[in-house]
Amino acid sequence: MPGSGSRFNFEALLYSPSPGGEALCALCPHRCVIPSGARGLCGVRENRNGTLFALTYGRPAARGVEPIEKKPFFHFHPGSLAYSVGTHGCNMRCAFCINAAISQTAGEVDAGETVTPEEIVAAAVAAGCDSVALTYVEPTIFFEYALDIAGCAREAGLAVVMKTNGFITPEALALLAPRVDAANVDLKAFRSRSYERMGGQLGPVLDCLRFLRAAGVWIEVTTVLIPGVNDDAAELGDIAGFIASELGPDTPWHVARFFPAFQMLDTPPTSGALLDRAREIGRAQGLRHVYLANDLRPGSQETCCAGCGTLLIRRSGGRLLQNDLDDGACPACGEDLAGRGLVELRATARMKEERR
Amino acid sequence: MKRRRNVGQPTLPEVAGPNPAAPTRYVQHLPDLMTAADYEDPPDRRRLRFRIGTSDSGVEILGDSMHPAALEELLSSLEPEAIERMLCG
Repeated sequence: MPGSGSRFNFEALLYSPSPGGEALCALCPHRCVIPSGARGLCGVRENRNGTLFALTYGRPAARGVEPIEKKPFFHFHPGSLAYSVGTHGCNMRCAFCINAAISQTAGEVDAGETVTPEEIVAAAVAAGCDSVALTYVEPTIFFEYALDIAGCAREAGLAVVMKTNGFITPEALALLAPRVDAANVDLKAFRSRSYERMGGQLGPVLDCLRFLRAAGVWIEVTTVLIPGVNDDAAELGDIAGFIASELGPDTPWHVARFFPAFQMLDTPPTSGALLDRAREIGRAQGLRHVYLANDLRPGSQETCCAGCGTLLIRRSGGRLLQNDLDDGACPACGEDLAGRGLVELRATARMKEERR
Repeated sequence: MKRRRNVGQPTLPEVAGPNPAAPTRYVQHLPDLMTAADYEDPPDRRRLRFRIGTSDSGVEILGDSMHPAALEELLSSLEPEAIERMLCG
């Protein structure tokens, strides 16, 4: 039965065997047909005599406590801590990946420590985290591990968030989404050719966003703005327009500065002017909250009231500096800020204050 | 590193793995050294900022740059015991 087996020799979910001994993987839209003895394109799902194994299960490449703003989530439990975990491997091949040291090193999946989902969640609780974050690489490729971590986290009363490229099948999403409270989804481009160069496809990513929206998962979207790749005004307008029309104008859009990395060392970092232009395009499409990531300039990561413009939350460098929300609303005009965990956090803060 | 040939139906763009460097430790926080003004450097400038100090375990060099590959290459050339870095996301 798929999904069973000893803890670190874990049979994969979402595959079916073929009469020829191949494993038909249905985890991501690549839908790899994997012969015995081989691995899928992600490099971390291996067919052993007709049985598909998830090599990432219990094998984090990195984990630790971080502000939830670093994911980034700006409208979900602001100021809280997220216990972040990710393994080796990825189902895309973005030439600009800043985490290539773990995302493009599937061959090292067996290296390092072994940690159970229960141990991940226990560490999160011990560190005072409000959530567990499935992040650093695409969580789809550690699907079974992610699913169990999410289940344990929910049982412990923690929220579950994920940072994803959205390149996942509907059947995988149907299992994962009910255990996820918030997702930051990369919308890396709005041209099919661009996605193909990254080893993905645009259509399934858009479908993922629609699915998450319909499932009630809180969504924030990130686009790494790369000079000469996706900085065309029309394309940025298409991205922002999709977010505004299909996900809602209150959906936060994080436009991130590109840094030369991995295989794009000769492309210059994104200029402030280009980031500013993207923000204007986003606002022109009706988006109320457009943020500039990897940008230390004042105002790049501030949340202002969509009603009256009052400064509500101030951040810098992926950290919350000041939160003036009053029970999740603007203290000046009373308009609610879109998001989750905005009121509860204030309640938690008050409780902590009363305990002192 | 042992590599296997992928045999799934689709193909992915061929990419080389990251350059081998000193042992890497992933940490949750490193201080910013870059300033807001640094972000407006002209495209052909590769600014690297450093803070050098000592600790009980030896010399510690903190680096920050919009060109992380250049920074890691330079730090690796010093043959450190380990390089600590933050992951994105």
